[in-house]
Amino acid sequence: MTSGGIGQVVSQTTRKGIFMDIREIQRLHAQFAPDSMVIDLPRQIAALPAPGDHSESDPSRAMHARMAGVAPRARQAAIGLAIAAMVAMTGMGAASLYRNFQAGHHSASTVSTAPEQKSDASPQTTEKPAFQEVDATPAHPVSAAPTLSASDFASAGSLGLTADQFRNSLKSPARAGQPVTSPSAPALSSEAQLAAVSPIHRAGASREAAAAATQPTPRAEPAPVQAVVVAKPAPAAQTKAQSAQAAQVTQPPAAAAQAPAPVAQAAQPAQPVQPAEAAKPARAAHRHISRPRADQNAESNSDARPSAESRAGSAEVKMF
Amino acid sequence: MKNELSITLVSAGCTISGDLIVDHGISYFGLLDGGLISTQGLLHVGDRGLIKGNVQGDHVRIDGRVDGNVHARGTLEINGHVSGDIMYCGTIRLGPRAALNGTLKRVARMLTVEPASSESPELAATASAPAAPERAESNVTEFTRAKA
Repeated sequence: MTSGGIGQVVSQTTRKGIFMDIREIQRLHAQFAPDSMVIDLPRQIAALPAPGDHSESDPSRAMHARMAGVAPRARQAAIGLAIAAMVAMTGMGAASLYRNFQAGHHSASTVSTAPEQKSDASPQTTEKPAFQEVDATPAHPVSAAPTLSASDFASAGSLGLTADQFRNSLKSPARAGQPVTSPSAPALSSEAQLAAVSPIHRAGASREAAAAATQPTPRAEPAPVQAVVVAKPAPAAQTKAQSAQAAQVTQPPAAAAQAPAPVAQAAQPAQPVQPAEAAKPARAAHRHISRPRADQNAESNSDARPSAESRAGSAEVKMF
Repeated sequence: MKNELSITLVSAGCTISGDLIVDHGISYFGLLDGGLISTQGLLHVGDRGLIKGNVQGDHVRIDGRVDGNVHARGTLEINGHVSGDIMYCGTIRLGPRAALNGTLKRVARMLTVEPASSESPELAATASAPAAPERAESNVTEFTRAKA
C-alpha cells in the first residue's frame, strides 16, 4: 500500500509534474500518524470493566467479596427460617382448629348426653328438669344413680306395693264378697316375677305351694306363733266369722294331726281369717312372696283379723 | 485526546536556514540549509525538496534530495537522492528513483546513533564508490565538489 502510494506520487510527479496536493499529503501523514494507536485507547479503556475504580473501590470490593460469600448462607438461612415459620404457623392453626373443634364437639356431646340422661332419669323421677342441668355435666354420678336407684326402687317398689297392698287391702273388705282375683293379678304379676327371683320368696313360694295344696296346714303353723297376738282381738272383733269358718276349720284335721292338739286348738281362734283369704287365695300368696318374713307375719296377722286390718291399713295410708 | 493530524507543510519556494525541529509530521518541499528533526510522525521530503543537512525522524520518506545522513527510528522509504549515510531501525523500502550515496546500516530500535561530525573513512569510501559514476552527471556532485 505504501509502495502503491509512493508509486502514485511518483507517477503524478513524473507525468503531470505537479506537486502533491494537500489531501494526498494528509493521507500520507495519516498512514504514519501515531494517533491511530492512541485513538483507540480511550475506547478500549472505556470498554474495560471499570479500570479507574480499582483504587477507589478496594474496600467496597472487599466488602462485596465478603458479602458474596455470606449472601448464599444468609439466603439459605432465610429460606429455612421462612419454612420453619410456615410450618409453625400451620401447626398452630391446625392446633387452634382442633381445639375449637374439640371444644365444640365436647360441648355438643355433653349437650347430647344430657338429654339422654334426662330421658333416663325422667321416667324414674319426673321432677328432674330443674336439676338436670347440674346433674348432666358429671356423667358418672348420674349413671351411677340409676343403678343405685334401681336397687333402691326394688325396695321402693316393694314400698309402693305395700301401698298398693294396703289399698287392695282396703278394697278387699269391700270386695270381700267378690271372689274375683284376676283384676289384681296383672298388677301383682310383675311383683310376682320380681319376687320369684329371690330365694327367700322362692322358699316362701314353695311353702306357699305346699300351703296351697293344703291351706289349713300353713294357717295351722303360724297359728301357734300368732296365737298370742291375734287371739285377743280376733274373738272380740269377729264373732260371725268364727261361726262361718267353723265348718272350714274342720277340714284341717291333717294339719291338726301334725300339730299338737293344744296348738290346733289355739289355731282355731285364728281361723276367722280364712273367709277373707278364701276369697283371694292367690293374692295372699303374692303378698307372702313380696313381703319379708316380718311383713308376712304382719300379713298373717292382718289376714287373721280382717276388720282390724282395715283399720290398720287406713291408719297406714293416712301415714303416707 | 484529540484525533487531529498535525503536520507542517513547507511548500516549494520556501527556504529555511538552520535546523528545523518539529514534534509532528512535516512535509518539506522547499530548501532547507540545516538539519531537520521530527520527533513523531512522518518526516517527508517532497519532490524537488532539498535538505542540506542531516535528517532524523521516526518515519522517514524521501522523494527529493538529501545531502546528509539519514536516520530513521522506524520505517524508511527512499525514492529520491540521498547523499549520506543511512541508518534505520525498522524496515527500509527503496523506490525506482532511489539513489543512495553513502553507507546503509540497520541498528537497534532503541539505540540512538548520533553520527559524528567527522565521517569515518570507510563510510565515506563506501558512499563515494557507488556514487562515483553519478557524481559526474549530477549537479549535486558538482556542487559538492565546488563547495569542497
